[in-house]
Amino acid sequence: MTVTITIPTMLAKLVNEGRKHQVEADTVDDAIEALLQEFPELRVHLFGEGRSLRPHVRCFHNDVLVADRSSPTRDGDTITLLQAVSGGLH
Amino acid sequence: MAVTLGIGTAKGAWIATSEDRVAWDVHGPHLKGWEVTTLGRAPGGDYLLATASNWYGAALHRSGDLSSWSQIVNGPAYPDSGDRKLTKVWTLAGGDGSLYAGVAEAGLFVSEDDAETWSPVPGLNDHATRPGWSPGLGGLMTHRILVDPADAGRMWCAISAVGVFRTDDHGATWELKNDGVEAADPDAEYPGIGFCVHSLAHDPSDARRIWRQDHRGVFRTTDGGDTWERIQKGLPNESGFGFPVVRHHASGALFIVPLESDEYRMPVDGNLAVYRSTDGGDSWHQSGAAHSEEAYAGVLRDAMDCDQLEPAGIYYGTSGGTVGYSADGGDSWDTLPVTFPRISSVRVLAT
Repeated sequence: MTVTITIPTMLAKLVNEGRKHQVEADTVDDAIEALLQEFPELRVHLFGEGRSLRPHVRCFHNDVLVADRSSPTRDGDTITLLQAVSGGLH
Repeated sequence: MAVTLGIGTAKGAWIATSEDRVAWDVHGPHLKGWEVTTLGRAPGGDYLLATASNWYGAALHRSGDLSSWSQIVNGPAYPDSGDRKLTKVWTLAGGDGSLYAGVAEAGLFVSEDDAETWSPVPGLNDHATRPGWSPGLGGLMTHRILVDPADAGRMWCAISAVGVFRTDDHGATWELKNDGVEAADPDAEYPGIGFCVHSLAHDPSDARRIWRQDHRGVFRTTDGGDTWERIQKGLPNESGFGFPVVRHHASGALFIVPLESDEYRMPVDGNLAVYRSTDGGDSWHQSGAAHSEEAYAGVLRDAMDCDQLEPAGIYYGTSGGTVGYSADGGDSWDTLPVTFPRISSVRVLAT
């Protein structure tokens, strides 16, 4: 399945690429892994240590907040990784 | 007499270069929007900087030209299986081809391949006192690493708010070295920790001579940390509080920035000033500052450095975003013509 995955601006700039990327994947998790195969430097920023997304990173599948990253994808789906509106320290 | 400074701020890094230490060219921001916590050099010569983010965590980046930066994919990281999270790289220090990174949550990592891959140093990270380690106001972090140029197997690490550790066997084992310093937060279960060291500087020609800016004041040791003595004659603050300490090795001059106390963390009476000692810390005298009017900004522990030219160049960045510098050993001071975001790091990257 061809899925379009969108990454936050800060991370896109980090890899000198655009925000939208097309990957082949059968699940949400596969799509993120495919993205990380292309841009391995993003792994630490999305996950840190462990397999859970960082607390301030949100994942939407076709505009619905993802609770289970093993959920299947279909051709033309969209996955959006967002920086949660949070913080304020600086 | 050319100097290249790296300036790490809450919102990116800037690079300041000068051929004469008078006229400066400032370019940036690099890694715009990312907090840049420290800068340094890899053994092979590449420039390094560390980023941190409340959202996206910490990473190291390298550059050969101080213009384009690429992230190091396999940077320092705690194992997935553990509870520790690496939130910031606080310091980078090299010795004998190795490069060390001091991090928060407190730990030490080493690279033996020019900063490409990193391994934890379990002798320190899993020290017997580790269950008792607790953070200071700035967090729980390894923020200063000294390597003995004459014996790369001997190192010192400063961890807040735990204390100074020394290894004599390339990091396999570590001993606490804080006798003579008052603990800031003594631990009943793990005696010997609870020391809030803020910064260290040593004499590379005799690395047993170390100067220490601590939460509890200013100290020195001449025996590698086995014993420490307080050295505060001439300081304007009874507490001896402050963050950085740096040393110009050729002249032996020491530089610190006294702050009123841990309650206030501001220059005494708004007099932001560098204090200098030319007698190894026996006495201190106001060297001056780039800020002639009242200034209440502080200088963080990684935000002062010294080149090794003659006379000494001293550089400090403030929490208010200004950079002060002296090109004559601290006799006179000036500022860079840029106001930056809050400055966390000022490092001399090249001379």
